[in-house]
Amino acid sequence: MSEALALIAAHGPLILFIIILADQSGLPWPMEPFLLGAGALMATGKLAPVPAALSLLSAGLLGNLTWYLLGRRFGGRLLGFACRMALEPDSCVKRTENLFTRHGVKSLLVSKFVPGLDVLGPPLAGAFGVPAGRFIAFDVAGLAIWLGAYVGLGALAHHQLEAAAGWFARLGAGVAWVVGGAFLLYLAFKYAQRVRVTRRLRTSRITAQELKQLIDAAAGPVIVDLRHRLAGRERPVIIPGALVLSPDEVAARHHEIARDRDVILYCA
Amino acid sequence: VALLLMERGIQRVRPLAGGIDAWLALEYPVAPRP
Repeated sequence: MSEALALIAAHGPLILFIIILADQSGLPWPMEPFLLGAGALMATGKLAPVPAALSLLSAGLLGNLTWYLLGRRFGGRLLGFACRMALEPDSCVKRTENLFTRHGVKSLLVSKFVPGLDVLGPPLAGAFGVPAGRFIAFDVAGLAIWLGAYVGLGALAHHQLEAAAGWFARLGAGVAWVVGGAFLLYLAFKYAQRVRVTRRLRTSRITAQELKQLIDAAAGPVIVDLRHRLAGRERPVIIPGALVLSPDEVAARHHEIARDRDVILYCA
Repeated sequence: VALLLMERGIQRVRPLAGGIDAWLALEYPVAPRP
């Protein structure tokens, strides 16, 4: 926290612009300490509120508008690409799409508070064909709510933030190493799990020709279409006889899949 | 999803290489998505 405060105090709106732009471009950047720090500096008169607020909003809008335009151009493929970077690709697509399907462009008002969705909301708006003016209006409102919440909290609690900064300084780097180490262990576990499953599935992959032969030979595999709804809208067809299940339905409906047959999964 | 199905006792899980795009590229028959 103390480093964040020192950085913002030294470079003002410019550093805020760069930090927000990096964050909204999708870099895994811990944004909240900087916003809290900016609020604390505003409350103590060390940072001019209007230039800082304009800097934050314009950088956020620039980053989001870029994702929105990419979403318009590349549609669901971009969402799939962004979610492949996530630890839980299926739930990433599912959560993002569910939020947007249920609440439409209004989801941009809260998406900044949901980890992972803050970057995925704008491309999804583009992929769903939300008009640019409407997107900008809701995105600016969402940014204002998100930025206002953290900056406001930082301004209100600037005494406590200064105390917390001193507390962390006294503890030194030990706490950061412990927290960072635990996070790295978690990442390693998730990665190893994904590699193990991917390796097993790679060996059992079936080609389109082999699948056609299975179907023609009446071998009767169970075919499951796992594409999320956005991808399904782009190509509104299925392999004949396929069971259409979204990834979030699989846990509840897996009993519909025969255990004694090959189960062919496909997505986009 | 494959991991989930394996945990639920469905062991013969086979992903389609290339997904629906590979199927469409070979102009195999399709049905409308429900």
